[in-house]
Amino acid sequence: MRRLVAASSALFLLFGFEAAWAHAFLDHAEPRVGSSVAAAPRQLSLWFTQDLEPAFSTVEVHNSAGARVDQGKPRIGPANVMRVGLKPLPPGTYRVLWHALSVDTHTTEGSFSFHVGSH
Amino acid sequence: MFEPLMLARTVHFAAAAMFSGLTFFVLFIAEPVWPRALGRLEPALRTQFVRLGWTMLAVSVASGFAWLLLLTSRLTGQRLLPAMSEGAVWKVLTQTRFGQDWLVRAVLALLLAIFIKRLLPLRGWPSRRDGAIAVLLSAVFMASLGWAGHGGANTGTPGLIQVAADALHLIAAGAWIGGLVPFALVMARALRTRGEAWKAIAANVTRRFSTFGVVVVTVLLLTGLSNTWFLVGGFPALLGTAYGQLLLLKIALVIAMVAVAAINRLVLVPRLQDAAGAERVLGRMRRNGLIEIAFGVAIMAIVGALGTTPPAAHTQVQWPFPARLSAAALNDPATRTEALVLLAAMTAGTALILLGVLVRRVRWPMLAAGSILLLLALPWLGMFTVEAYPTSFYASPTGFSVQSIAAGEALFLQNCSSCHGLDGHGDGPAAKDLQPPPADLTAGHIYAHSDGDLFWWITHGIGDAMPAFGATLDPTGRWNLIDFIHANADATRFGSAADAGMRNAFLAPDFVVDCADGSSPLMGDMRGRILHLVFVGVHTVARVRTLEPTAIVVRLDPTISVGGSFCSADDPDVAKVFALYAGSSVEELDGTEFIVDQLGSLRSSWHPGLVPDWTDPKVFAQVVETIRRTPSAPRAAPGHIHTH
Repeated sequence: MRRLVAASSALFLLFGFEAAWAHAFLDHAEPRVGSSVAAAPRQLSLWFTQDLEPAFSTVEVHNSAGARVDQGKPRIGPANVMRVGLKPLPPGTYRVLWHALSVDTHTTEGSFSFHVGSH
Repeated sequence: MFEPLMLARTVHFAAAAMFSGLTFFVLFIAEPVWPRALGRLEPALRTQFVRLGWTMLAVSVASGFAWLLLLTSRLTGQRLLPAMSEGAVWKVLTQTRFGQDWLVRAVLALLLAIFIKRLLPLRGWPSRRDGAIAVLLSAVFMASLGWAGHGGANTGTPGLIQVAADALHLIAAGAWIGGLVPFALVMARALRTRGEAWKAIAANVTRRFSTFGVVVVTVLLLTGLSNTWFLVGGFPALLGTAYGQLLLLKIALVIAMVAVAAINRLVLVPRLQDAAGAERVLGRMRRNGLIEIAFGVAIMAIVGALGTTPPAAHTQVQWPFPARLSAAALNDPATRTEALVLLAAMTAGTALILLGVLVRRVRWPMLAAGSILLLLALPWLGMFTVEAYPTSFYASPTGFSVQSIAAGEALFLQNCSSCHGLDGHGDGPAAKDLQPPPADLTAGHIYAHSDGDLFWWITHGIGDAMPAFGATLDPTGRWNLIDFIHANADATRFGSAADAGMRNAFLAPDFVVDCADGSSPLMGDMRGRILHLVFVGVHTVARVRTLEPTAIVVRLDPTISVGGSFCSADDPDVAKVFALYAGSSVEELDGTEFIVDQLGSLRSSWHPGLVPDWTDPKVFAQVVETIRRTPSAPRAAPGHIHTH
């Protein structure tokens, strides 16, 4: 059993999962994961693969200096979308950290970046 | 493995099952077969049943509280005591589905506590109304265990099917495993009291419980299959993931339980008729009941572990064997005859053995002949297997996007082209000295290998000739490379097939488009209709005015404005990758058009000057109609293993 657990953990590490026992995965985001957008977006939307628990799901957006640039509490709407407002973003790279609790009581978290302004 | 949360979950499941099973046992097993003359359960047995009910209810309430507190502590990241005192428990109870389910179950436990006395009255049996209510409450008590589980988290129809199948599965499992304890109690009582009446009761209860068991096992099997389909998603995943292997272990335990139950019914019950050995038989029946309970508890522990293990459908499969089954021998004309003969011999051998088992008169000759046939076939069986690796069933996380193909092309030129050649034909400058020679990556065999096989070879190399890239390329890079190899092989064929056959199915590379309504879907999300891709550069801007509004415009120069209601894209990777399929440079792509069919296959391409002329609406409508009538499924798109 221990070997099994070790093997599957190694697998998760290999694929960059940041939480092992996990079920609500990020399907896609707007702005897209790793994308460059010309104009500063006014909100960030995250689409998840399963229903989320709003009370225990959060998202933070940081600029390259590490300061929070989101408006705080995210809204979770139908179709498993989590949205959060963004402060006016000057050109630069931003890091998104999300933490999700799916309704089957399993937590996941992950992070990605997007870029505002020309390359 | 035995973390407290999993333990609380296991205990709670087991206690709820035991309680629910008692209800089912009293109403569906005991009452119908109990001798009318006795009129009621023997007082001592009734007391045992009542105690069993109270104990299991108390244990399920206690373990329910433990589950709630441990979960709250984990969700808030706090230790147990602060989590309790700072209102977090209240937040979990009121603001999560788990909490709402928990509250419903608490109310159910209270109602069940009220009903224990009515289920097991001092005199006689429960009234029909009380019995119905008790069964309903017990069933919901079990079913509600699934509402906050894996199935409950999926949306739409699959989610509903899963929740329904889960509910039935839980009710059936509780009725069976939970019924075993009162069953063993009846056997023990029969052993202690002796006498003809108790012998009859033991036999009738066992018979009735077996019939009940057949129904319950059928329900478990069907609902279990449905859940396996949704949560595991395939045979390799059953063998190659922690979740799948736990599930196999659970299935093995269920089979063992069914076997023990079958021994009770088929071997022991008939022997009860002998006056002499009846006592020993009753003892064995009780012992078998206890063995089944032990199996049942082990199953509950596995269920507890499964609930905290990610379903196999969400993890990569580690293939445990050096080979896997393959039907390639049947498809290859060179080996087809041999393969068919072998299949026929194996079928005949199996049929002969079955005949031998079923028909006593011809048993030994048939068994011998069948075995000889199978033994003769044995050395050839390798024909139906191909070499496999731990990663053979890995799913690519890339989604076959233009970005991954373009990234893969850059890696290919850097790392692979010196041997495999710039176009992947296996004719690079360093190729001639290598033994084995570098593979032609555009040849047909590329289509016979899984993405996971290619992943293994790139990671670990092949022999002395092909180096391992596991240390130099990260996994994403290796998957990108695999996407490029597929795109390159497809593109080589597409060039010659595009105009003539139109029957070939090449998975269309995927990319994001921006639409006038503000949405930005993936092209792969638009399956179901024919897609018309038009690459517009400075020379062909005028074409935009004649396009149907559903066309997808790829702008080769981001300064070009297309206006109108088109969905459009200007990522340079789109042009780079589609130039590969057009067999042209990116500059020459100006004016080139593609059609992707409703199943997502890249089917045809056109560029200015070719006949028939796609800019003629009548001609174009005809081309689209031909493709619409002959949809062609591409190879499966690399899966959606979510990595961000």
